[in-house]
Amino acid sequence: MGYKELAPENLYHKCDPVQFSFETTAELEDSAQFLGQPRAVEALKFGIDIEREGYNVFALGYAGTGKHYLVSQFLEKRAESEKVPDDYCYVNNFDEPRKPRILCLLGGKGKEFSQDIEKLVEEARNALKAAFENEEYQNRRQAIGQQLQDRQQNAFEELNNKGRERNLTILRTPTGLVFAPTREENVIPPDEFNKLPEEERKRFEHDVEELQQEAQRMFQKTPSWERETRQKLLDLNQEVTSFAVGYLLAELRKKYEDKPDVVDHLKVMEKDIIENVQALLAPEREQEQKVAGAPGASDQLMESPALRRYAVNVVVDHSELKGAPVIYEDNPTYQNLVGRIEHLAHMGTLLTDFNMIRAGALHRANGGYLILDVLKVLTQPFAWEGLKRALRSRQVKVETLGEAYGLISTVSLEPQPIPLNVKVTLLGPPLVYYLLRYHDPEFAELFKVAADFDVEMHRTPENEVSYGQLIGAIARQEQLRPFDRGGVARVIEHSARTVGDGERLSVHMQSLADLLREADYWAGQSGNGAVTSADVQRAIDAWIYRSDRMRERICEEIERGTILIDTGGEKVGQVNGLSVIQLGEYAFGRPSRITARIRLGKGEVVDIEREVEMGGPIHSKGVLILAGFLGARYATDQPLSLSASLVFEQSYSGVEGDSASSAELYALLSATAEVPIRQSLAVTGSVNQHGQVQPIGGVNEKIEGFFDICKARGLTGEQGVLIPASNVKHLMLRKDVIQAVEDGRFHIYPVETIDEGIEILTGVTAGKPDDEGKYPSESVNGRVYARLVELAEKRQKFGAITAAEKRGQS
Amino acid sequence: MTEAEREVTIRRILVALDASSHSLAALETATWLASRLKAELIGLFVEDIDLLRVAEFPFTRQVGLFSSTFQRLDLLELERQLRAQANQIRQALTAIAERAQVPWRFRVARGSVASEVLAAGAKADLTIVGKRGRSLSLGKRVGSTARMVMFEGQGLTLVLQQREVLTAPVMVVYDPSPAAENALEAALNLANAINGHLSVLVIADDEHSLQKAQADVAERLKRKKQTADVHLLMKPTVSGLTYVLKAKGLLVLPCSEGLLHGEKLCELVNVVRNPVLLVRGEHPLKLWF
Repeated sequence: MGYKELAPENLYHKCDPVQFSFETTAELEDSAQFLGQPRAVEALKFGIDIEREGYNVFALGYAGTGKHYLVSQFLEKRAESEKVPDDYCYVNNFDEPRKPRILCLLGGKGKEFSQDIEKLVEEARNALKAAFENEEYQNRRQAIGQQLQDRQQNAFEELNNKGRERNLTILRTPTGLVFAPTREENVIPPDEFNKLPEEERKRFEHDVEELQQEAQRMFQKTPSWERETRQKLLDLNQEVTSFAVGYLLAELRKKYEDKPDVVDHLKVMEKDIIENVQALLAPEREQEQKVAGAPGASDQLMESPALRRYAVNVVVDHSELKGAPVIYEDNPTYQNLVGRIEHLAHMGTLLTDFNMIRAGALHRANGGYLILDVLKVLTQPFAWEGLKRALRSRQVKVETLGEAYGLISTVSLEPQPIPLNVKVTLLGPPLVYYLLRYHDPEFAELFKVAADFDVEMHRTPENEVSYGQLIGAIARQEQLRPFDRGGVARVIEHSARTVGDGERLSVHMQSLADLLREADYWAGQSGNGAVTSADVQRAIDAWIYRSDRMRERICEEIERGTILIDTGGEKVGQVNGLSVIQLGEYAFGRPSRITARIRLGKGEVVDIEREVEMGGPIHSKGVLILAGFLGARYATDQPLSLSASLVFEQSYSGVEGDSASSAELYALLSATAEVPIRQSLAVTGSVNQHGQVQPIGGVNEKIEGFFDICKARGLTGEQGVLIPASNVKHLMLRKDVIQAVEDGRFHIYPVETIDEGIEILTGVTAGKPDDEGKYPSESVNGRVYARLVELAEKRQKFGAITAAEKRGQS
Repeated sequence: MTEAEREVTIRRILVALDASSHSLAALETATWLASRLKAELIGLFVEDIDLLRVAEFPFTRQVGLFSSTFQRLDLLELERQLRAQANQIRQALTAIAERAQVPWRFRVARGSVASEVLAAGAKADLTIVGKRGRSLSLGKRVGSTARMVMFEGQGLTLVLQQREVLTAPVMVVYDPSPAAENALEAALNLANAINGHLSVLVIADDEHSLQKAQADVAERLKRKKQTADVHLLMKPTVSGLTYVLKAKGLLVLPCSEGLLHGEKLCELVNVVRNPVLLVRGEHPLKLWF
């Protein structure tokens, strides 16, 4: 019987280097397009362009697909032509120092403003020092002091004179003063006083009382004189201060006259300077209050608390920026996102002020773009909530976690929030995107745009040229040797092999870049100036060698007979199935013996893997489907009277997937019909209830897995693999397999139905039903049918005996 | 200068103390001098007998300086307050003197303030008084105690103003009087001690005396190998002196006769704002620091 088998040219989709017009990739220019991600690029463009609330972007794709690179490149290019956003500065709120105010200046002007203020304070100090040391000020101050002294002196002199006129003198007590009678300027002793005439004594008493009253009136006036003096001094200080610094502030107000909030701040600052001029002049006296190590706008302003109050904390400085900011926050903790307020420990307490406010990534990206890794955000406590809160409220509020969640009520700073205008792009795997969409209602409101990154793209001649450009671009970026066209072709072929599809190319940038680097290494080892096809192949082979220890071990155990696999002869109820083992990035195929046994029963097909909970649900589904096929084809006129059991022999680690369901069915049919199956063949393919063989994954690895075993034992020319016909387009087999097929020493059979497959495996016709639905007796189907009839009759007979026995017993 | 050459002639320094802040400044100065001269420091607090007498009058009431209320002046209470003041002063003296490691004594006397200070000063080599004490008068006029010590005191008297300590420069007035050489000697040594500049104002009533005095000063400076600014003033008056003298720095005056004696000296001390060291006596005075 001749069976349709694949020709060598069907086994590999070659990339012909001749199609390329270049010798090496050094001749190629970087492509302006982002290869293989048209959907994602379109989404990104839309998400960035639309200026509506909630249209932030989630770039979803598997790791290594180049999301970060593409997004960064896209945004940076876009940002180049956009305007530099405003700078933001925190300044002291003189009325409520706990609530620092924000000033907004043109991008790049924040630093300049800070320097202007620093200069102003320095000049103001110098001007004030000069003004207060000035002779005119000193004289006026002294005059005011003297005026008080004179007033007090005059009052006291008047009191003294009155006393003297009345022969009284004033004496100081520890707490006040008293009047004492005198004679010839000496105090009269009490015993002598008592000897004076009564009239004189009375007069003394009267005069003392009068002068005491007058002294009291004088002392009562003293506080108001002193208050008046203080006010005069204050007015003098204010006048002098205003004159000394007024013109400095006026100059600055004129410079920033287009910024009303800056002008307001300068006015308030001027008022504060006037009221606190003494503190401003004497920062040296506050050395013991110096906040050691305090960072800030300038060391000078930071040294003294009196000067710190006038400093400008430039939290967002765009002086070096050209265009909008594109920020990637690599460690998106809550504080790194929304900013933080630092504290300094000083003498057992924690001190802070507006100078200690630090910007977060949201501040730095404000007016531009922020890129975040979603897994990193989600794994940082409260970072996700903080980000959402900022995006929802459209402002960035710097507050500690304790304050944000009401955990502490210690008085700290409440800086004025900054208006937020930023586009956030999250990078993450598809699973996270869909989980967030399902579980977090706010996510859908804030991240409306999904930029879906693919892992593969169509393999067309145009795309192959573009792929060459991409290889060239990566080689330049990584400072690798250029790739010659043979090398480019080999990379393209390997890319197709990586996605397991001859008609597709992988756009997994990380693995592509790895291959290029490793090929470059081998080119270097060979002393090549450009990377050739042989260098690429060597890189591939070396990588496989590094990865396939387990495959080698399994092959060894099969060769040694520890794992029982037949590659010749024939057996009833036994077939070589094929599976793929994935270890990290490396996958390889291995044959497994599948056996089927039948007995009299009630139609159940027992999947032993499932019974011991080593079979996954998809595998179990596959078994149930083949049972459905069995019943539909052979048990429409009679009950299915067999009990069958299927197992993967020597499998101790679990089985999943339905790619072996056709192999299981073949084994079952063989066992039922008692027709042996050729053990020189292996089978892969899933089956549906209609007996159609469906495509599976990993077809290349599976074929190569069986080929390696056959090759190790010596190819007989009889060996081969049955694969679903719909998998032919996925074939990108190794050269040695293709060569063996070309030499007729190995065969690949594409199969569309179970009947086709059973014929190849048994060498017996499957058999077609006649008009009455009967199959030819010598066909496989006929033999299966006959066996099932036999079993049905036995069961019926057995059932009658059992019923009679039961009747007999009762 | 070796230890052997140090000859201390100021052995006892008396400082009259009340509870005012001027007193504390005076105490600081006195301690500094005692430390440099290796002298004993004697603090004197006088319980004013007149005050105690006044307390016996039934009609006297004290007017509180800050409360401006009347309080009956009770003798026992007054004595208690005076004891408290004395304790306060003693504590201040103890702290300052022990920090400077100078020997000290503290005395409380009862009597007329001026008389007691004068009497105690007779046993001291240097008497330090404040210009006004606790007088309510804010003017520049010298108080009664300082006045009496200036008139009748012996040895050296230092009259301190306000709250200052001895500062540079040092200015000395040199007149053709017996005390002038001692004054110049004291000024030279004090200028050295406080690393200050020395100015000498030579005064005389006639040209000849002026020149002779100038020559004496030059000779003395040469012998001491020291420099000073020397100014001349003929027919000096109090106003003339105050015009020439700087407002800051220590003023050293010989006060045995002529312009720098009696009421005129008092008038001068009234006007200037400097601390004033009055030097009396013609016996050689050696002040080694």
